[in-house]
Amino acid sequence: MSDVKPAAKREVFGSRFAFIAAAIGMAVGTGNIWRFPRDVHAWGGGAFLLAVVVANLVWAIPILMAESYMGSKARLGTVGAFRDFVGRRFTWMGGFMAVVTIAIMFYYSVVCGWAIRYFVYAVTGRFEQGITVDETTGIWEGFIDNGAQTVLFHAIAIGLVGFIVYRGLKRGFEAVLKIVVPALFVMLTILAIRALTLDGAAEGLRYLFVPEWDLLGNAELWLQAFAQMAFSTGAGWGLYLTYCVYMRRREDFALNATAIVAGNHLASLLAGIAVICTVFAVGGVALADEATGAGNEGLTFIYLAALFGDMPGGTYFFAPLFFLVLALAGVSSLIAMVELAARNVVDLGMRRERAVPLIALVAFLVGIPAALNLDYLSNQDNVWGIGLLISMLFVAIAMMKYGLEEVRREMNADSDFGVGAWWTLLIRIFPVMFAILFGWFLYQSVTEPGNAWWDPFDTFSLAAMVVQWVVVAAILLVLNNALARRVSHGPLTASGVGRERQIGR
Amino acid sequence: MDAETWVWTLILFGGTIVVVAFLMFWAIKKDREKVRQGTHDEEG
Repeated sequence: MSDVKPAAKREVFGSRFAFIAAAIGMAVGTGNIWRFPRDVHAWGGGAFLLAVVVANLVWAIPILMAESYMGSKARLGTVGAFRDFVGRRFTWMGGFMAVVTIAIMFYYSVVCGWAIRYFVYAVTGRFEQGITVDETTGIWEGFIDNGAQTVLFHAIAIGLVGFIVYRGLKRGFEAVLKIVVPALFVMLTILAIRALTLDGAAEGLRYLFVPEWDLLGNAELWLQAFAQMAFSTGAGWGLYLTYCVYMRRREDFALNATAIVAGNHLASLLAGIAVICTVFAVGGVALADEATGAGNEGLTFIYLAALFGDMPGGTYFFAPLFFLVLALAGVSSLIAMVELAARNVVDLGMRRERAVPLIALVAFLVGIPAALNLDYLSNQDNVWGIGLLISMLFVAIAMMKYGLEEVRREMNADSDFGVGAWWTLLIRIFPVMFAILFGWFLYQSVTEPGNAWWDPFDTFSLAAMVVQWVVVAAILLVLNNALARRVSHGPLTASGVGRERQIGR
Repeated sequence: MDAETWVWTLILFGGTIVVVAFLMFWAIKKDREKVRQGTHDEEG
């Protein structure tokens, strides 16, 4: 244990509700709204949902519990937490986790900017009655090809989020998220109810919820469900670890993680009903297949935008509401990403008042290529999205290195339901599950026809991914000792490691 | 809407609503107990 006392007074979430709301806001992002409905539609509706529930139980909840333990005990961001849990030689692992999420932050701000732009389009009545798919395609292409606009809305997104995070926990993200996240659920519920009351919505419900049992025997469905869960719940991103730095002492680990995963799943289902039932009811079965096959942006910004024009009340109420939900879901996740970056930079010794504006500026500048080039954004999404799986593996390794039984005993002391041997078992077998999912991904990359997997300059190639991961890991390995020295002390920091923390940071 | 769709919607969607409501209720109830007992030993 360190002989240096941690900060005498630190900010903590004011209530458990505020903490869970913030964490659900972290997990619920644009993926819940534009990716989840497409995946469910593509993978057999109810069968896919059952597989997602299993993936949540055996993968997301145990990993989030582990992140929660690391953040609340280390009281440091990802870099410091890995130093104190795995050992100073492995500080780079926390750095890798941070870099993956920060790299996502750079382009995610651009995506939030798109949602804000479409909210503005909707509010100004752009999706009027009778608008066609060709016309919404023209609006999308006109926007995405206009670099000044995509960069402007990217700046608005990161500027807004930077301002919220700059104000800190109590006056900033806690205050915002404990209102925004419940409001998000209310708005999603309104959209879902509206979709359910449209003629023909039942066909959408059938697609969403009735399982095609044959598909449960398909290995690819399970792998897709685990992949969807990995990207959706926030497990392995380090975001939950970061929020748990602000947990009160003696706070629960198990119930919170379960509530967050369940809340995230509910948001996905509400979005699924809102999107799929609207597409089926207004567009019909043929258009539903076309729309859900058109990619995230195609479904949302082209097909749904057109369908709102054909829906009673669509132009001036439901379209603005939908794009507001999309923007708020994105912003609530982006807040957590900026806070992750800020927490690590503050741990390295910079004052928060300097760190957050600097992070926002860097995020704006580094995000510009993604705002100007859709291929680059897709490349980054692919590289760092899959990189999250590696971060999850690092969390499991950290737990095993620290001692699974000790962690479980300490979790049990504060958790509202017992953390049984199931938790240690699931963390222990995590590397096997990782190897299966990652191996499947590698196999797909190599065998997919037309995919130049060896070409590092191909947008979706395996080589493009591996090269970027290796470069980041190599730089972090070189910086490992410097990072271990520079990151401030926490309650678990060994004597002689890390920098003395200054009160109030 | 046919019976099969009703049943599966109730199980998968209704079940999720019930689970989320139950977990949130439980979490907030436990939180109030801990605050009353001063277990958190820390104020937000």
